Amino acid sequence: MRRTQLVFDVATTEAVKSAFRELEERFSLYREDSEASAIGRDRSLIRSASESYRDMYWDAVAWLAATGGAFTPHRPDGVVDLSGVVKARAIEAAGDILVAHGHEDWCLNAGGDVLVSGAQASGDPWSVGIVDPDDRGQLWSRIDTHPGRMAVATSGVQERGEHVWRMASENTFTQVTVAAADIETADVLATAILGGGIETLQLVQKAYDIDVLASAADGTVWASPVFTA
Amino acid sequence: MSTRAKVAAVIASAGVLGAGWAVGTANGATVATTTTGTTATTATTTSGTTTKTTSGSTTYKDGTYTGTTVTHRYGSVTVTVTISGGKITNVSAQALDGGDRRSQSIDSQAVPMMKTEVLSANSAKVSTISGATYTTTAYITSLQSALAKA
Repeated sequence: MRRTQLVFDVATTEAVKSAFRELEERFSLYREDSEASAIGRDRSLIRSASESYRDMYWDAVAWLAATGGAFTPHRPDGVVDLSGVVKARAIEAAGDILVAHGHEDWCLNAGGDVLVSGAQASGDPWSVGIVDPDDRGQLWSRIDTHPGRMAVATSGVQERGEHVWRMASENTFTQVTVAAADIETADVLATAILGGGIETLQLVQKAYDIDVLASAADGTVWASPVFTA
Repeated sequence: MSTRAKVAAVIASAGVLGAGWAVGTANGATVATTTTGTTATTATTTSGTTTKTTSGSTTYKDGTYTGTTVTHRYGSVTVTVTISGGKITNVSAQALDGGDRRSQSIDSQAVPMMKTEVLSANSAKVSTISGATYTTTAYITSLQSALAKA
């Protein structure tokens, strides 16, 4: 079997790189010279922030309200951290660029967050595997994409340590996968459910059109019917 | 999806509607109960089935019953219950959008189950992997090289 690799033209690749660079330069907290780092050092600067920073900030605040506080751009140390929405926006921007350059069928994977368009060359829908929370070398489940589920995001406590700020004291979920029509909804809600636990799961799945596969520390899982069919 | 899970899903959703549903398990049979007195703003689901059932001892009359459509802030929902052998064997719900994105079929809501009940995946047939932040590329490359040898 040959490995097939999709290669985009130079113009497309450069446009994606440029979009990523722009977001990185403005929003990275790992860059001393970014607007995000400046605001991190002095929060009062948020009042005179650029339009794109304010736009991203209000987007994050809207998600905070929609998730009952489970998703938040405010770190416990007071620093405003927009990376929860910036990552999804970056993937979305890349997708928009691919479409604008005439690419209809593609599958993007950015750090485990997946956004697809169209279908595989065979005509089959893209199939997204979901990693086993108890053994990352194994697949646990999968979901086939369709127009209402073009994005799949997974948040887990084992991926990068306990990187998600937790609202509940108990470690309810260890891994949460959310499939949605768009990557921002999938990504933000996966993070929110991981942080907020069952209560947040029940809140958001009543309000949003999503499928959820979540694994709890005690071995119980919560799964939408699409994951049991 | 098991009947019990469906019942739980429907109940969970009905809870949002404030229609006063509750579920209990008695003698291994899942029994749905609904109270008749609902608030003025919501209608009661399952007009045909049920009005009252107490824990476990009551048997239903066989048949399929469709409840009245209940309107809530995000749209409306209609529940259908199938009774066979005096027990609920199937519960389904049809939800209609209220026109905004915060609305979904309650059939897609996640419910608790055992890990082994979840659909498994054939690793050779997936296009990509969600969740494996550092391992995705390595995993697929490794898998493909293994398949190349097969």
